[in-house]
Amino acid sequence: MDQEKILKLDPIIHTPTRLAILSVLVSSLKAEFTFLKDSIGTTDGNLSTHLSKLETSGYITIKKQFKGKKPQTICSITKKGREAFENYIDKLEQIVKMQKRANK
Amino acid sequence: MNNEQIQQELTIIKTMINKTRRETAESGHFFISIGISSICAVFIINFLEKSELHYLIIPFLAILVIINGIIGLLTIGNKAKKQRVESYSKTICYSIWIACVVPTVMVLFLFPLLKLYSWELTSVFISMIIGIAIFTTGVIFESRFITLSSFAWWLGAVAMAFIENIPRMWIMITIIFIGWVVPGIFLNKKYRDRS
Repeated sequence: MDQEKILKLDPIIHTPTRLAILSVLVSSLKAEFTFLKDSIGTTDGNLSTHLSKLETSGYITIKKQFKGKKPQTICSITKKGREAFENYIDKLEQIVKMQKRANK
Repeated sequence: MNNEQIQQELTIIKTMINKTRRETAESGHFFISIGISSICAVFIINFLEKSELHYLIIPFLAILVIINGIIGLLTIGNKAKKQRVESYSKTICYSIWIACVVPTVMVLFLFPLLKLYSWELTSVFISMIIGIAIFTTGVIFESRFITLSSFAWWLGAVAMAFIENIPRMWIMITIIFIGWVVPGIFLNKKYRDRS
């Protein structure tokens, strides 16, 4: 049986961009859109799409505000998002263990 | 999911966490500048004591605390403007320092004015409070060196309370240098290495 079927990985997190977004947000209190864009190395449009998907799933919150005269988009992880990320890491660990056992 | 895919995912997580840590790293400039200004302050206080201008010590300290407070607030405000990521560690660290500044001001001004203890004991109490702030800062930034340097403050407090032969000024300067300036240089080196 496929390991992913046993340990089904969260499809919302299981894409490189969304995994990268959550990795930043899980290690910070909040992060600006520009920081996410620069550190992930993606386009505004692509990042916006992934952020919307995470927001719809309740994993992150997005706040739009003004810093002086400049508009600013602030993202932060929710409790649900943190739990989902931790769960995702646990499952990755289990898959690694299962693969090691299978290789033996 | 094969092993290669798992390794790719783990690399993404590790890289992003490291980038965030780099962005939120403490530069150590705050430690170094406050440390140097404190050493200068100790020299000036010693000069005022020797010149029998004791009445000027409290006003001098009040001015120094106000100036340092303004510089601190401006520095934090300026950093906050440029900062694109806010970390838990920095937020907690700033809160601890604010929580330690309040009792320091009480120990420095309020209690001596109420004549609860002799003026000479002020430096002993301040060393004990700052030791707590340095210790927790070291734990938060995962730096054993900074954590251990807090013992310089506590040992210094004991030394200032019991040893009478060595002038307090030199003990205080040694503590500030070992327990403040050196951790600042250490943080700055770590910061530059990460950048």
